[in-house]
Amino acid sequence: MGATMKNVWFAILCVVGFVAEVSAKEFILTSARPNKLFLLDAVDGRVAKTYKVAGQTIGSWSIVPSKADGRVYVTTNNHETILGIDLLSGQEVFRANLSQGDKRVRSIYGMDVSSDGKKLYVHVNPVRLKRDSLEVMDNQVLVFDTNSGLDSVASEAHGVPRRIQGLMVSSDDKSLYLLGRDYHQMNLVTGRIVRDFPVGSWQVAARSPGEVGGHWMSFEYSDIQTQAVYSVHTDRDPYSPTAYQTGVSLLNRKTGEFKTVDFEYTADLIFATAASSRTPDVFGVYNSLVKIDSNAGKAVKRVPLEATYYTVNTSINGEEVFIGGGGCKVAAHDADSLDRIWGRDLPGCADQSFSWLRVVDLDEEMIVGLERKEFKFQSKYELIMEYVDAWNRHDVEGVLGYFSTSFTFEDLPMGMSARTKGELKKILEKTFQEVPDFSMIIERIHEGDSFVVTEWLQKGTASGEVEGRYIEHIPYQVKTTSVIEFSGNKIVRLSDNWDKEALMSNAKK
Amino acid sequence: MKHLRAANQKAKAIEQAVSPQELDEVYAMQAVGGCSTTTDPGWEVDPIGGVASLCQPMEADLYGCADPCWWPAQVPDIVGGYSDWGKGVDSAEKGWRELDVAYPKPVK
Amino acid sequence: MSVYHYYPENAHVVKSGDSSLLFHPTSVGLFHLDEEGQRILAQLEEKGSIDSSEAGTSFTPGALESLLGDLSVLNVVGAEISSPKAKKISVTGDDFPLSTLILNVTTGCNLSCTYCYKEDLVEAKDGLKMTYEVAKNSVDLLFSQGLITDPCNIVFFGGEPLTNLPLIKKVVDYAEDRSAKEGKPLTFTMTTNATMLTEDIVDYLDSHAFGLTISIDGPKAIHDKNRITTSGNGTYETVRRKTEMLLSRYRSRPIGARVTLTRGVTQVVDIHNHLKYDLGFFEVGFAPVTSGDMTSFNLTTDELKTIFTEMKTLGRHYVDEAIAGRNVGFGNLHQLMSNLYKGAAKILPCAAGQSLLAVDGEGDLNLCHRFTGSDLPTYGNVNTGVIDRPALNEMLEAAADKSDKGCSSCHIRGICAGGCYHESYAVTGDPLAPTYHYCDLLRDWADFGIAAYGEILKQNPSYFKNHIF
Repeated sequence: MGATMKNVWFAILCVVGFVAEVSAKEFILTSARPNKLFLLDAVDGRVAKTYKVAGQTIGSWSIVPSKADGRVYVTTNNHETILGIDLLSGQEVFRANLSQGDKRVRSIYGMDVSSDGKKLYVHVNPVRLKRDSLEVMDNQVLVFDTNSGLDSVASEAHGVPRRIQGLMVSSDDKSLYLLGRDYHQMNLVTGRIVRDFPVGSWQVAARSPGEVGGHWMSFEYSDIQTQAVYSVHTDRDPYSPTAYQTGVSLLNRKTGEFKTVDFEYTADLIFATAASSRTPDVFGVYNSLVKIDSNAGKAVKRVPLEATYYTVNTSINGEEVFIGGGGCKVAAHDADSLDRIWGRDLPGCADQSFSWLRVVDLDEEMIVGLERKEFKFQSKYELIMEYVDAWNRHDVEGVLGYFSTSFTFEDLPMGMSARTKGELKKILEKTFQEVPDFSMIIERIHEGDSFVVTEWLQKGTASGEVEGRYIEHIPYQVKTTSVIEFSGNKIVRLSDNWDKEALMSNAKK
Repeated sequence: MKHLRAANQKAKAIEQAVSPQELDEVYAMQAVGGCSTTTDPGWEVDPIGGVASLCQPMEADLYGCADPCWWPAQVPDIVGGYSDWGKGVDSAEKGWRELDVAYPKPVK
Repeated sequence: MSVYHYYPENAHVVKSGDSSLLFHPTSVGLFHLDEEGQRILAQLEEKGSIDSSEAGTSFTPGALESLLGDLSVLNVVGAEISSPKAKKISVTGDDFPLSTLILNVTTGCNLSCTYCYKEDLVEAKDGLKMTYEVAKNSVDLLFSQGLITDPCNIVFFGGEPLTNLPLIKKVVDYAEDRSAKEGKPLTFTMTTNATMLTEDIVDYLDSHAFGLTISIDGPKAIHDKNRITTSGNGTYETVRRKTEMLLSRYRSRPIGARVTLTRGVTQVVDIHNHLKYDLGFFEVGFAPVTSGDMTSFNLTTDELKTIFTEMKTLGRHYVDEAIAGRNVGFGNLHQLMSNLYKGAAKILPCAAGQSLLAVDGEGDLNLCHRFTGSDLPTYGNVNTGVIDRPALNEMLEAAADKSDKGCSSCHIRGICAGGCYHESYAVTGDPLAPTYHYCDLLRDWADFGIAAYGEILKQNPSYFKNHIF
């Protein structure tokens, strides 16, 4: 019995272990100039895989992940080609060149795929190139069979209203939502518009038309596409801030429900928004990250960001909020507290520009050419982030592990220095004792060949002796600049510089 | 033309050149975002006239607005003809100094 | 301002049925002229000016003002006594790059038509055949001009081009290959005497969508007068047989007949009837012979008049059929209808020297195919790949400048623009001298055309949309 039970348990463990090994992992998809698509680990933002997209030279992409088959569809070649890439293998599996003959056809945003992955819908602006002029033709939604390989042509075309910039397939695959200045629902069998959702042409008493700046698609796990809507109260003094209203539109692709909710006066600009998959919250981003209660119609929390982010999306379980776009930064925040969990620069600080940020789940084990491997650093950047993690864990031995056997450490404002691990250990222990909630938040990493300069915030609540005075429980947050020199992968010099006055002035209060 | 009525295509063209209000209605631009649908002033001031809502740093906005041709007047028209502008400069923040003026392409 | 002076060179009124059209010479614009408009123009013709205050009760209120306003826009009337000088418009080849190249593939011909204008014509066996190298360089030159997306056209000419069919085939292969690879749209055209056509050759030309014109002068008695072999025999039987074979198989493009009218041949209506309805050509174009040193076949003045009278008779048939929705294939009038419908105003008589040039056997570039072998200068050579644009531009500017010629006040200057350079050269020795010998006839013919246009416009305006491309 014992042996048999052991075997059974062993088998069960194996099964459990096997299942655990193939459980899907959450990743973020974002792109950067000139031609890179990045798969980032949602847990810490590190690059898991880099795709080089043929023909891409700029930062304006549509990015459409297909849940059914692990593909992603992107625009490339100055919006004139649709490419389908298998995310696991990195292979090109679909290609449609939109321009034909004397027709130049571009898809400048507006693409989605059916839930079974079989049909791809692409919104296009065709133009006929004549000898001495251009003839603008009617825009359309083209339908492609995604199995048609590398030379695909559209199997159908639907005429659609003008000013469309986003597409979203309904959950039952029977309708296509067209997002533009107004939104529409189109029956995919008949091609007819069956419902209009006025925004730009809404008739609201004493209100200007609603304006939408663009459509950043983020509905993949919430099933709700949202967008900030701006309007003016025409019966108010135009010099009063209360005349300018920010709202958010929500369109549910499962239920077809649509509503627009006002939530604050327009003191802050919001670019993209994303709905939570878990709560009625909607998150908006630009120079701050804001959480909006779409039921109550209120902005309930806002945190400033250290840079501008264009795009936002929410994690599969709704517990995290991911931000990116614009420059080279990507970050994750806690959906409840809006505290930052991690923040990174993309490799080379390449700009994400105007492209969308999407969330996918993939079997990590099946990814070909997975870049992130345990304890193997691609660059100093990686190493620094590990080092910072150790600090934030207050892992003294962990931090020491990054230093060479002999090195120089100096904290200039505090006049502290250390040359051996023993000396440094004492400093570390003292720091973590005096500032029990000490944390490091990296803002920027500047990489050189053998050195790194980091700009970061040190944050915590300090108690202890500073310049002959004893302070107690003083919260502080100071910007710090560190120069870190390496020999191989080990630190040989660390020089911290920060504004002691900030701490002192707090202490004097 | 107030009295004479066109009897061929050239005469019609003359009528339209003389009385532009008889031309076809203007079509709205197709794109909502991108391709200069806005009179957004750009980097100098934000829509409210201040600087608080400008992109931070301002370079974060450069490709984000150049690539979907939001401001083809302030930067070369990347969609229309200068898709190579910015080649080699993947990070506007780091490499903005390398971004050059776009010169007209030589006519054959 | 109340006194409006009349500039008669900028207006021409034509009666069409029981209404009138105002023809604007500079723009080739046509306007309906109502009763009041006719009266004002009649007064302007008579008195040379009109005072807007003298309207009194003879015009409906505001009508005189608005009409004079419209006429001012057209520069038919103005404040000055004589009209302001016309603006100079660029006609150079820089703005209109080469797009049609005529290759004189051989100076040899298997026939010996009496009136042939080719100065370098010889028997087929003695013909100077263009080499493939020169032909290839010609294609390369053509492809290098303008934008790669600009369509281009290669014309095969001679002598009789089919006597050098092997070269034509090689050129077609080379040019089509480049066209496919580089995306430059390409078409081929050829004029032939038809005597050498076989089913294989016809199928070959059809498969490459050649635009074909057959030189044929009419029924046997007329055709055999001048279109003869070197031993003096008529060619009608052969040409007819070949034509019937051609028209029964050719599908890619419609085929036209080109008729040369010579002394004793003025039966335009009969010839059209025969070629259009008996033989089945899509279209027939008539060209009175270009007279040169050999005068035995020249048309007399009276015969020219008869020809134009016949053309008007055929023209009335054209109008009747057009009103019924049919195009009878009277090339000359159909071209005029197209120009009037569009309002195509010309400053130069044709594209020669501008977007059209001809290559002779040596590779030299000539103004057009009629000038190959002539005394006129050449303008570059395909073997060096250089077109002498400065010399051509100078010639074109001179051709466009009508200020010291009768053309400057002629009301059909936008339709004729001085006439064929070769016609002028053959008659006067100067290609830029206007073809004064045709002026009166052409003005009359143009008026006929305008009136015909007006009738079709009134009774079946959809004819133009359906038949003019």
